[in-house]
Amino acid sequence: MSLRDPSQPMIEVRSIDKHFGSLHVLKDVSLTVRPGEVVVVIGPSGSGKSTLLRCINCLEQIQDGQILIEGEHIGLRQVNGRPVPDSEANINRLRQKIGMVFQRFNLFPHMTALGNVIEAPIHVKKMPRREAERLGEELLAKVGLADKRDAYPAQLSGGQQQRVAIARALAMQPDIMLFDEPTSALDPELVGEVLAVMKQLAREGMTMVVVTHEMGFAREVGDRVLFMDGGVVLEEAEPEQIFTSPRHQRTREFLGKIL
Amino acid sequence: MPNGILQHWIEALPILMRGAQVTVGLTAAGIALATVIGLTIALMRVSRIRILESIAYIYALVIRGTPLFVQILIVYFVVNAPSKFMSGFIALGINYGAYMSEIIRAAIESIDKGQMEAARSVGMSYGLAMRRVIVPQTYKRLIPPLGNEFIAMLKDSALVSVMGLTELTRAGQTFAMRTFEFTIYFEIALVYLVLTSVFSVIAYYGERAAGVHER
Repeated sequence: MSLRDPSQPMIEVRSIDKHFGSLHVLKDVSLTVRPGEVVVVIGPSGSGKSTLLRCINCLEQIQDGQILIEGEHIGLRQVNGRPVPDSEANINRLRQKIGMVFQRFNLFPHMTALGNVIEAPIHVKKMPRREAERLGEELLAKVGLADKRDAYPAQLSGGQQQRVAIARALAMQPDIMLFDEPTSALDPELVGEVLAVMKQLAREGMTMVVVTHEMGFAREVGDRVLFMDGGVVLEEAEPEQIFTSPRHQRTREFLGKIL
Repeated sequence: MPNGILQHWIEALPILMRGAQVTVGLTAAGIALATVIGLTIALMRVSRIRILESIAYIYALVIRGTPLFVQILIVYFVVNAPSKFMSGFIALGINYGAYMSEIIRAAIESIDKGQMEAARSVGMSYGLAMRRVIVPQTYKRLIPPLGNEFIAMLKDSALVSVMGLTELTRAGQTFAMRTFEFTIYFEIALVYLVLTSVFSVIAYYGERAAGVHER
């Protein structure tokens, strides 16, 4: 892993706003993630936590505010003091630094597990096929699926699919990984295998933002926990604090319901 | 069946078979052209480039809003193709291309939005994601409608007989005119029925074969 200026945040979200029509889903949200940090975002459904994640890699366009990835603007940039949408080329370039794992895996069904993993390295990074395959096999081994390299997504369990999806995201050698409720679509007995891979990533020093309902994971792996409700970050604290003595009434209610 | 009719039917069969070859050739070439046009127009429709979207929209509007028969006459008399066969499949391809573009566009839009998002999230451009991720997933969904279009064109290709191209219908018509054996039209219909049945079966197996990656 390359050496970075530790004072340079990996992700800086500054007062962003996002509307879906008349619905104001993110209200003046800010967040700073430093290298190697694992930030867990919790909150009731519809609180804007997934939208926040999707804004960070520009799957959703923000309407106001700034997002910086390793110091570079993404999504909106200021031209003569006015915000204008970012260029496609710049978004594509910065997205390569950000891996994303989706709730519903979104593996490419017409490609094998290995095919899914090596697709972007070959076609985006122009990596030679041989080299990409070596990397792909390495990553599949890392998520415990070396023997599934030739299986199609439909032949894999949900947990296996999600682990392939993690390998696919890692194949672009991102600096940041975003997880959007990665275990919510899984049968309970398959959750553990996915969390184990995520924990390992966290131990290796990956910078991660994780939207999840897995409070055990948040507590064990999270450096910080954000509680969102109604498009606002209501509370931000270390896991111990938020789980043992939440300051906000809404946080207490939410945790009371799900713990 | 009176002996004379049977005699004529047997006599006509090799002539109809040669005509059927032309019909199948016309249809195969026409569908190939229609697929290329259809895919091009469909990709223009979803390109998010205003001018391309407009051109594609107008193409579909004009072609679908005018009779195939008139289009055949225009292609034959106005566009000077090197052969009648070529005029024939070009007219069919242009016409069916407009309908195919709608089918292909619907197939593209039926692919889960998460596929595009996943492709974009690994840094792919919109075009690359279309080419590598979205369009290949439509192939299986396209086979049933493609089979239907093939069968429909097989029948519509009878219209190009107006150019004087000796495909199945015109081959039989010529025979009927010569012998005054008008029951030949039943035999022509029968040959079309056999052809469409055969291609239905081929389409069915093609659809199954294309589904290898699904359980």
